[in-house]
Amino acid sequence: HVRKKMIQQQTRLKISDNSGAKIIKCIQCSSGKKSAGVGDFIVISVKELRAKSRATSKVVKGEVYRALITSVKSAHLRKDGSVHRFGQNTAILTDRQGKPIATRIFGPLPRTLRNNKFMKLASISTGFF
Amino acid sequence: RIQIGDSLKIGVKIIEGNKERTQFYEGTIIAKKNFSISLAITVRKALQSTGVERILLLHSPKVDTLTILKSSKVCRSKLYYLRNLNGKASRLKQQF
Repeated sequence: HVRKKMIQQQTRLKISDNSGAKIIKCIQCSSGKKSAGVGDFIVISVKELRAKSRATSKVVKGEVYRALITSVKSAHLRKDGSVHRFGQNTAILTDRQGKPIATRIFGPLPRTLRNNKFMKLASISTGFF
Repeated sequence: RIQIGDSLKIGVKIIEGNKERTQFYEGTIIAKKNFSISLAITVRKALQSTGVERILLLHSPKVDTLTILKSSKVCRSKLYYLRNLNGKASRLKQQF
């Protein structure tokens, strides 16, 4: 089993919510670490916006925001010994306090994000997996 | 007996708040690793245009129920080629 966290500086991630951004690039992992995984916050810059929502998007291309990683392609370990691997690296945009900007989240979310810290995610997502 | 290419429905115990319930996970087995008690299977499922794989330890107390939905005829011991195929191309031939 691979035990590394794989999201680093210069990693490109996809956005899985309806804030208007499509592809983001990681600038810095949280609190000076070298790599990040599911449930970590990262500092990002927006690289591409969704074409259909350019007029109504909540974000500006080239701006710096924070994001929360929701799925990774490398192994995401659970405490009972099982491992999850997703098909894409995805994240959702948040503000400085860690609350999500968008109103809907697409795609599956891993169950380790069901905490007291991320209470808002349960109401705007399709469910935990 | 569980074989490569089977479609399985696995019940996994989860804790939601204070309650414990079983959540079902369906998918096809693409890899199996025998280590006597650490027998691990990799189950793959396509969910909303992305694929999700999960490696489960079968003798763990969290794995509740196991039902085999269908068996397939495969010529490999690991089906990693299914990661590049979507939709109809990733169907497996059924074995009765």
